[in-house]
Amino acid sequence: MASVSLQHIYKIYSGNVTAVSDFCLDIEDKEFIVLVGPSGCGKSTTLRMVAGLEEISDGELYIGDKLVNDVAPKDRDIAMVFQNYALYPHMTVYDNMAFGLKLRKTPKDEIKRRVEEAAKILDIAHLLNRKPKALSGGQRQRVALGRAIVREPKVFLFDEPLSNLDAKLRVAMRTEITKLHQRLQTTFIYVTHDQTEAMTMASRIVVMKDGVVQQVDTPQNLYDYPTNEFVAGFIGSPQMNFFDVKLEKEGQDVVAKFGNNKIIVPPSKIAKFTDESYIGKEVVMGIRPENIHDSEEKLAEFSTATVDVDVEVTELMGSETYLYLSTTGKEGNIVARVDPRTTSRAGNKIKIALDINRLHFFDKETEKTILNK
Amino acid sequence: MVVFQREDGGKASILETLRELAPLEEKDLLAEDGAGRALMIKEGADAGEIEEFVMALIGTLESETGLRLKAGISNVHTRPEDWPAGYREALEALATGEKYNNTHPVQVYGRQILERMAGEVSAETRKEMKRQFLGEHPETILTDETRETAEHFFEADLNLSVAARQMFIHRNTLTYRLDRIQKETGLDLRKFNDAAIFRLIMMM
Repeated sequence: MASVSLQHIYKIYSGNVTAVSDFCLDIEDKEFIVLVGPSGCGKSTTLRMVAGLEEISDGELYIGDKLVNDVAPKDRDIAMVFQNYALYPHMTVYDNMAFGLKLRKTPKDEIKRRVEEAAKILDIAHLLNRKPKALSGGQRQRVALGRAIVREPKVFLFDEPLSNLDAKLRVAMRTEITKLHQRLQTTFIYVTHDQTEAMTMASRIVVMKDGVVQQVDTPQNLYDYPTNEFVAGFIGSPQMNFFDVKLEKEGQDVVAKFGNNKIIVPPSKIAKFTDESYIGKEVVMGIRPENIHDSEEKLAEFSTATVDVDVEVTELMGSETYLYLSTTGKEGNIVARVDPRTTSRAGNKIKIALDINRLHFFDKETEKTILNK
Repeated sequence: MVVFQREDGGKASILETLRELAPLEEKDLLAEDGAGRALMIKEGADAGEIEEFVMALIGTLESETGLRLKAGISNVHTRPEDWPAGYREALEALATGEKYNNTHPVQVYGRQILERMAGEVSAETRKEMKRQFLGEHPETILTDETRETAEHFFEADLNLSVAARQMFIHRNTLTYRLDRIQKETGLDLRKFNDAAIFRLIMMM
């Protein structure tokens, strides 16, 4: 068990290509940190630098209180699980799991104890004598996890470990890994492009884009208080709706105007603005699909924030329905997640209500939030 | 026969590291070729098992030592007098992988038939085929994104869901990209014959 500290870490490849820029993060002991972001954002490179598989161009990396920049991967006391869980085909599951320990000259009885214990945790004790050929994809991935567990490392590193599995198995393994973290009480650093994996597993999430950390926070805080438009759009599915609006003062009210639409921004929201001079300017307004409603009750509740829209497509998902809507002053569709008993149908002209307490506002130039928490 | 070499092309010996970390069996042989490459002869294993073994070994080496290797695997040769041919095939597999920018760490000679055929085609025929499907400005169609999309799709045996998952994109995005390729080239990569033609064109 150990804390991990990344201090002003850079990865610069030849030709001055910066893959990771000024990455700073203190990971506490036993935390489950997930690095998430689109392809090429630098999350795997960061993980590989922690593992010692990539050289750190600048900055300092500590595991525990030890500076490990120049420590070889095998001496960092970490274990890594990759997406390609290749196992030695001529060895049994037991031997595959024991192999890393044999390389480290661990005594035989200790190897036996660790392999059997890991197998029990992963529920693969009955597979120990099998060869990889006789295992399913999920079982192979468990063996790969087992190989990491037996090393009893201070830190586990996972690089997209579930991306080779089918959807159903991925969900199951997600739960397994969360349970594993609770049971092992060890620091986990996990890389994924999948925000659902990040949201469901992490104690804290690091959102990255173009090699730069965008926000580090708990899943709930990332969702509720995104620091910029990128985070707001990346976390949440379907993603947040964005509107180019102009904030104007009308009597006592502040209104957000777009196209022929006008909604009143509540004073409680205005009070959270980082700078009142945004009133009178163009900003970006965001609202999540579940905060857009088409029921009579909500239309009455949020009567100061209704918008006339055309329903273009409806998608019944079972427990909810997605409405794809269009209106003036908004490029592309507005997506609303509403009750499946909705009567809205494609081709209808309807009114929707925006939950004014759930509005987000971003600076048009910097794309940063203009709301205090 | 398997030939290992450093991914960065470095010439420092890798033999000792392999000796230390590879779980070889009694009849397996490990040697060096004088150019910093290591050769491994694995007896009694079928082609699939050898590939899996090499993948596992490369993964182990990387996670234990940080050493990144790539490997070329020859056809299976049972007689020692055929081992020199195996060595040449493994080297050719590595060279072919490099030539076609294939970043996979394991290159298998027996599966590079299309690549070798593409290499035999005359310059004039290549030009003609490219013009037929890609027009006068192939670079505008054969972009990095198109190549990456097609390669993942072929790697996933033309399975849309698997390829989309591997590329971390939505299935609909992949469908859109394939539709665009079809519009630009007339080739529907979801059909085996069209996919084969496009793959050959990419290699040219």
